[in-house]
Parts: sequence; structure tokens; C-alpha cells
Amino acid sequence: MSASTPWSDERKLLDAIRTGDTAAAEELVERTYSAVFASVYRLCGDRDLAADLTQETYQKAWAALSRFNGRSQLFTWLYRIAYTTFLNHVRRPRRMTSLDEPDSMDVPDQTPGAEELLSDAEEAERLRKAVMQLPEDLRFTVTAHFWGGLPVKEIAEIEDITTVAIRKRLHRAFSLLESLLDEEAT
Amino acid sequence: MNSKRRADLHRKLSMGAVPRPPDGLAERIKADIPAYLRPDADRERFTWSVAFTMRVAASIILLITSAFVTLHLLEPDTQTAISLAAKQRRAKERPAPPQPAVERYLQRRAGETSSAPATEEVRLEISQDAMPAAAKVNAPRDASRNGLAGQKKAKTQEEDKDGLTVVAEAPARKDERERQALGATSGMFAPEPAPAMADAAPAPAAPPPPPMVAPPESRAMAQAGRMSAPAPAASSSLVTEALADHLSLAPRTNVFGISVDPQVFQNLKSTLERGSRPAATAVDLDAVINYFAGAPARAPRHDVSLEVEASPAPIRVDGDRAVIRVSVDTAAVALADRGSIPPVARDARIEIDINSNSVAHFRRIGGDEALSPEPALLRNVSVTALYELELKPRLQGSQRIATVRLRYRSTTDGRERVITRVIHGNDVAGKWTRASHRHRLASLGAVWGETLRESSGGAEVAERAAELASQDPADTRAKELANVASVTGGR
Repeated sequence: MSASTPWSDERKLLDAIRTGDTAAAEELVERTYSAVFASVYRLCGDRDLAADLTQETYQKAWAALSRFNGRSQLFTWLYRIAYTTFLNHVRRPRRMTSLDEPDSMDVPDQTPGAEELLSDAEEAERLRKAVMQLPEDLRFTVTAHFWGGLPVKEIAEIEDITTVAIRKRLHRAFSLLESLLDEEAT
Repeated sequence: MNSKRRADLHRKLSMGAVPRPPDGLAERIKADIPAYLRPDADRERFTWSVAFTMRVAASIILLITSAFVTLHLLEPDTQTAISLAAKQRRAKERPAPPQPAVERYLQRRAGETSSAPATEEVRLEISQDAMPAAAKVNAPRDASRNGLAGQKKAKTQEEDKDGLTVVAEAPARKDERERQALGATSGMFAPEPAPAMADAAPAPAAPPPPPMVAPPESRAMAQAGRMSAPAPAASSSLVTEALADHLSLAPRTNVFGISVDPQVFQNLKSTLERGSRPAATAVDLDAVINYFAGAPARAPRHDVSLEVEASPAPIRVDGDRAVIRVSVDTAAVALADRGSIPPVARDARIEIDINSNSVAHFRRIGGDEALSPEPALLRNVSVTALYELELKPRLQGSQRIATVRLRYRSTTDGRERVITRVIHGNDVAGKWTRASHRHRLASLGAVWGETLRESSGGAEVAERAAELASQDPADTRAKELANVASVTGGR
């Protein structure tokens, strides 16, 4: 393994950005944009929309950078912004229809595994819609944990509740998801 | 809800496939980095402001110093004029002719009878006689400009005139030389009065000071009378160095220590077409990979581009195996017959940082040795390195797998640049069939090369290559790979 990066931890990277180091800001983008995009994609299910929302997330992040206190992980903070950006988007009535449209990127390749891919895509879309029907607190907890990759402790910190409460939320969310998926299947 | 359904739901939530971000998304995001995070402009303004202030301050100091020195030097002349007027008055009063100043001085020195004011007056007269008036004014332009070179030239002329090399000098002459040297060094005193300037009035303002000491080359050129232009800029010296040391007319067959010789595959193909199997040692895997990776579909927008792509392993999927492709491409340029390939960067090097928290083992496919730095990266270059990774279990999507950096110094502006690409868990979560055509072809080529070395396999490669060829009929390399893999796979 090679030597560590110039900004070996987030604190140094953040300090460098705050001193106006553009290279550090670009490093932050390189480190995080794929994960932010993946999180947003799982929320919205549309590749182009996810790219736009990811870009918007970073625009908001630059503006809010001075208010970031560093108590949580940098990616956690970015995820929170991305999630809010997504919610703001779906609350715009004009664009709500896009959620019901099939994702063009999930059209499978013309390969032997095409049917399997199609089945996976349809199942993923059903699950995504079910998650979107969860109450706000449960939805955020589920998406942050499973799609944003945030640990329970981090979610507890940004929600300002205990880890036990987060686990209870997850438990409740699982029960609701099962019900929602069963309803759709019938 | 039973535990099995819960586990199934947990798996579905965790393992959903995510497409790769669209090309150029990172650049779009970076372009939004606000101006206040870009201190370059402020830094330039500040640098310019400081430089301007320093110039003004230096000009003021120079002006004040020049005025002070001028006044200081003119003061003895005034006193001399006064003393001369007094002397003339005394000459009118006394019938005896005035003695030369030197004789009077020697007489008074011999008699030790002079009083203090008289001594001062005589001293002034001596200095007046010993040093012409023009010697106290500002330096003649030629002498000032030449500095040490002019001084050397004068000395050379003296040596030529005398016909010998001066080893020891008379004190007065030595003092004069020291004074000249001081003048040449400080730029405020004339090293030697020119006859034409002897009666000239002092210059109204001091010229800007010459450089303290010219560089050796400049001095040598000045002595030869050929110096008219400043030293060459750093950027031009970069190109000169690259042209001198690193350029060749032939295309490169090795970049970053990676073989990119296209002839290797042609040789392998010829051997297979003759019905024999190439020796394992003849299979240069790097060259095979680079043959199939080829150039990018679109030419690089900038001088140098770094393409990093990851996917699951194409064939051998025992365990969590992934392949990372690192491709460096330089801008294309049309070459005339026998024209040399211009460099686009120098001191280029690829750094790959593998995250040990995500990766259990890794290796470079095709070579165990590390990538070597490239002193001069030429145009028309495409080079690809492939890495095989064995991922650790339970890898999360946001977890970093590797960071790839390409560092180089641009020959355009001489600045060092760094291109960074980061691979996360999400990047290897998708299917191999979703990777780019270039990535799939390069990784399949690598697998075929390894099977050729191991004298086994190849059928699956042939199938996948045939798929690739059907997807892009214009790409003859996929068809070639399918053909050679079917030949070796059937043996």
C-alpha cells in the first residue's frame, strides 16, 4: 500500500478547504461524489436526475460550509444535504411524475442475463417506492443507513436521538415495508 | 415478520445495483466550486499589489539615495570653488605667483607647519586635482550598464597596453580600481570617467540600477559582445530539455514501464495462425492489454487525461474480485513525415493508493514491478494498466477502494498538475457487462493473455469477446480477440 494522501483525514481536508484551497475542495468532490450520487440515485431511481441533484447538493454544501461544525462525518453532512435536496425536489409538484416513470438506465443490456437484470430492476423499483411511502423519520433512517451507508451511531447523532431509538425506527420501518410490499404483490 | 424475510429485505436494501455516475459529473461539480474557494485570483492581485508597492518603494529609496549622493558629491566642488575664489583673491593681493597645489602640500607636509583650516583646504585641492570633476557625477551609461563586464574590459585593455599581467598595483591605482568596483557593484558610482563626459553636468536623475551580478553565461556573452537578450525562460528550457534528452522519432513501446508495443499481439496472432502455440515467455501481458485497451473513443479534451474504471472480474469470479483499469491518454497531434512527437508533459507519474480496509490483496496484471515515472510524456500516447483486487467481505458502497493520481508538469505552462480519481465500493457493485467497451475489452484481453500463459482456458473469453464484437462491429479488436481466444480455447 502506498503512502497516505496529503489530506489524510477529513479534518485536515476541511481546514484546507476553509483556507480556500481549491485542490482540497476538488479532492473532497473526488472522494465523495460517487457515494453521494449512489445515495441520491437510490432515492430517486433516475440516473440523470441523480446527477443533477448531486450537483445541487454540492452547490448547497459550498454555501453551507462555514456552518458545518465538524461534529459529524463529512459524508454524513453531505448525505443530509443530499437527502434534503431530494425531498425539496420531490415536493415540487411539477416533477413528481418522474418518480413513477421507469428508469431508463435500468433497461438491461442484450446479454444472456437480461431477464435476471430486468427482474432485479423491477424489484429494486418496487422496494424504492415502498421506502418512499414510509413516514419521514423512518424513511430518512432507512435511506441513510442502507443507501447512504451511514452507521447507526452517525444517524443517531444527526437526528439527536439514541442509537436504540434508531434501531427501533429500523425495526418499525422493516415491518411497514413488509406490509407495503405484500400489499403491492396482492 | 420472520427472520428470513427480514434478512431478505435487509439484503435487498443493501445490495441494490447503482449505475456509475455520468461522465463529467465530477467536472460539473468542480466547476461550481465558488470563487471564494479559489484564492488564485486574490493571490495574483495581492502579488501584483505587493510588487507594485515594492517597486514604488524601491524607486523612492533610489531617488533619495541618488539625491543624497549627488548633493554629497557636489559639496566638495562647491567648497573647492570657494577655495579657488579665495586663492585667486589672495593671488591678486600677493605679487608672488601661486604655487601648484601639490608643491604646496608637499612643502607643508614637510614642514609640518600648517594649521587645521589650511590642511583642510589643501586636502580639498588635492582631491580636486586627483579626481576629475566628471568622476564625481553619475556613472556614464555604458559603464554602468556593463558593470563588471565593463570593468573587466577596461582592465583587459590596460593589460594589453602594458603587455604584461598585473600582479601588484600601485596603491593609488588600486584604490581607483576598488572605487570602480564599488561603483559597479552598487550602481551609484562611475567606475571610470569617460573623456567625453568630463565636463558634462550631473544627470538629473539616476538611471535604474543594473543587476548586481550577471550570471556567468551572461558575463561570458557580454565579454564576447553577443549579449543582447535576457536568459531563456524556464518554460522554453523545459521543452529544450525534453527535446534533447527524451524525444525520439519512433513511437514509444514502453510508457511508465508498461509495454505498449502493438507488434507483440501481431506476433502472437501470427504464431497462432501458423498452428502453433506461443511460448509462455513470449506473452507480454502488458502489451496484450494495451493492444486491446487501445485509445479512448473520444480524444482527450485536455493535454492529458486519466481514465480510471472499476468492475467485477470478467471471468474468474471466485471470491470478491474486481478489476481496476488506469488509462492515461494524451492529446493527439498530426505528424509530418519524420516529424518528432512533441511532449505534452514531463515528470509524469502514476500513484495508486489501495485502501487496505477494503482490499485484501491486489496485483498488477502483467507485471509485478511498480510503475516507473515518465520523464517526458509525448502526445499520441495511450497506456493502460490493469489491477486485480481481492475485496474484503461486507464492503460498503461509500467505502473507498483506491485513489489514483496522475501527477505531471505541463510543458505548456510549466505548472504541475494532479488528476485524481477515487474508486468506491459502489463502482464495483455493478455488473461487468455494464462497464465501458474499452474496459471490457482490456480486461478480457488480460484474461486471454493469462490463459495463453497458463496453456488452458480461453473458451469463455471467446464467448464474451464475441458478444463485444457483436455490440460494436466497427471495433476489429474485439473480433480479433474472439478469434484468437476461440483458437486457444479449443486446444
